[in-house]
Amino acid sequence: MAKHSPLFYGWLIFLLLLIGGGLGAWIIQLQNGLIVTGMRNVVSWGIYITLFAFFVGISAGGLIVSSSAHVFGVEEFKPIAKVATTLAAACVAVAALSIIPDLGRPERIAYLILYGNPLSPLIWDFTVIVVYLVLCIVDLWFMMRAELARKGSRLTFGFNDVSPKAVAKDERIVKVISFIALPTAVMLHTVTAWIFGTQISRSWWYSALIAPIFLASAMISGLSLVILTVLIMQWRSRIRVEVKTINTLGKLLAVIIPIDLFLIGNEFVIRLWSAAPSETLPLTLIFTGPFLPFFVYEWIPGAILPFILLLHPRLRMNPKILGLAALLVLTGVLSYRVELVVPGYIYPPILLPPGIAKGEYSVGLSSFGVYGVYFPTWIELTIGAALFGIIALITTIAYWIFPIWRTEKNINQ
Amino acid sequence: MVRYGLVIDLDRCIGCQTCAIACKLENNVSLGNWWNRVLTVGGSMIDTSSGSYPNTSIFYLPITCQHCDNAPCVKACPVSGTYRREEDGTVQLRIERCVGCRYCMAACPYGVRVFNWAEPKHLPEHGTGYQGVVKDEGWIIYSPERPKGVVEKCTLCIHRITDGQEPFCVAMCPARARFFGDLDDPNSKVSKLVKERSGVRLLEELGTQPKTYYLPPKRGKQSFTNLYEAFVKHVESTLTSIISTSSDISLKAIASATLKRVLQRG
Ligand code: SF4
Ligand code: SF4
Ligand code: SF4
Repeated sequence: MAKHSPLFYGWLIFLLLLIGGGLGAWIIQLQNGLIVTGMRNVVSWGIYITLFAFFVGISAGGLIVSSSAHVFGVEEFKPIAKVATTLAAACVAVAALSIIPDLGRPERIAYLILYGNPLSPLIWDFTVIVVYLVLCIVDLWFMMRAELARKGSRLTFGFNDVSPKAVAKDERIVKVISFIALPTAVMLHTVTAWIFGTQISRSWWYSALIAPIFLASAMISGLSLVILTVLIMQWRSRIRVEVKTINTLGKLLAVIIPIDLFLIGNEFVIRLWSAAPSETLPLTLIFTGPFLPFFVYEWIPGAILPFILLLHPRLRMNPKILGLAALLVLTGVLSYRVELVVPGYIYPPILLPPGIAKGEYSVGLSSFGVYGVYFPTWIELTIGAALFGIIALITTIAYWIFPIWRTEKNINQ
Repeated sequence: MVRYGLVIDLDRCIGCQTCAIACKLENNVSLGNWWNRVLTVGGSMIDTSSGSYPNTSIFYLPITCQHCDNAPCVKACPVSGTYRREEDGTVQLRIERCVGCRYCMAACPYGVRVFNWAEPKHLPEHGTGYQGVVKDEGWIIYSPERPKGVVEKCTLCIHRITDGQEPFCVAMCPARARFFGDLDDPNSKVSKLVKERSGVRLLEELGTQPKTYYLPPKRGKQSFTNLYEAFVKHVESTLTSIISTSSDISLKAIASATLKRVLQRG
């Protein structure tokens, strides 16, 4: 294990503090109930589910990239397949984790297995998540086995053969897994989209386009996280990734951004044209209401600007600009998730005074609010931040102890 | 098959919120949560009309779980905590199975499900209403104690209807605007009312097949007179029964004085 800079240890401590804070906030939430969140009876899902969808997206996107290295023979992606798969595994694990603070009775989580309802999209998603996580880990293991064996690690579980024949066999298995992983990654995010898309009571979600939008946004957010991680690791170590790889990643990102915008724009046009209140009310929240900043951010700095930055190869190959573009896209996709979950709730289908009981009186007007309101509390924000921290911690530790970075090529250099 | 449902006569409903309070009392619903609510179809605030005088319009829409036959909440629930009971068609919730994911709240178009965001509080503290527990195949589907972290909603007063009684909100409605019965029996009062008065269901276009029918308001002097009469009759019979059955002398005195006043006005 190499010696690390103080910056590295500082980073680790920072992450641990972040996670510790989240744990503390969760304990407070467990004691008092979900009353400590901003959610109420009208807006009954908030930041946790928003982040869940976000993390699942990044994860699916990451694996789509790494498995396409084998499936479509994109040679440039092979050196980063391990990093991408590690990120995919970390993100999907944390996505599953982010459901737990959302549950009112987390101690009953095993009921999802014991009493799973085959009609519930949540159960479909749960199933895909488990399969997907296992696939990621198995995939990673085969990618790293030879490397681990050379280092004499016990994680090879006794499979220490590093003859060219054994390594070739590993590679074949990785290839086979990639063929399974690619459709699984696509299904992972599609099923997550169906959690929303099937809900006939929420016109904002009830759309067959949600799944394609989720896939496009998953691809760009997953790619962005891979790019960012590769750039950071490159900055912190002496090993260099080939320019060609970086270039292709940037190019692919630039291609998918407009597809994502195209799909989202489609939703807007169809809804606006109908001029039916159930369709346009959520849009007013986004075009003129409290979600306007998210909308503007998603479209301009979150999509159009990075698209322009990525167009020119010279800009694209500049690590600073590429990193900035990736960061913008990531946060842009996060904005999209915010626009998706909460606005679906604000105007319930039956909108009459005194409205749906919020559990709180709205002073001045009627006894109960007609519309929903939601603003995350610091408890939710702390837990949310901790979830990001866990992803970063898993990736950092993986970088630290596993050979996720080194490839055959790099080592020979 | 028995398919229990509610019929609510919007011509008769006076928006008094008695059913909402009755439900809260009978089912020990915690502070801040309501299983049953009376919405105003009129202005932008409760008890206000739309339009300007003399062209105004107002009626009330009591809303509680519609016990949908094709219930989105049932399909959404990952653990089948919420399910449709085959024997009577009601939609129930296994309190001890709910994991509190609130997917059902996202799925229900009628916004009638409520969540115990904190440990429930009651007034008076020891709670009110039915204190027993109702079980279905070993799972508790009604209990006066529902802990924090689970969803709850109208059970169609499962403890009463399995005992041959009407739901409490139906029994308590002073305007006699609520009816309970078997929608599969063409001769039941509810089936007849739905047929005669062309009962409608809320958000029918979503295909949820609710079992709560609303009799559309006709509006007019005639129905108002009927309503007033029905109201007076209800008060009259309640007071008379107190006078003849109660052993409390002061209560009897108050009841007969009130009765006298009601009769004078009528
Ligand atoms: S009204 Fe809502 S809670 Fe009741 S059965 Fe229908 S969908 Fe479920
Ligand atoms: S909150 Fe409870 S009843 Fe509702 S969907 Fe989740 S587990 Fe089922
Ligand atoms: S049927 Fe019972 S539980 Fe349902 S609204 Fe009426 S009183 Fe409440």
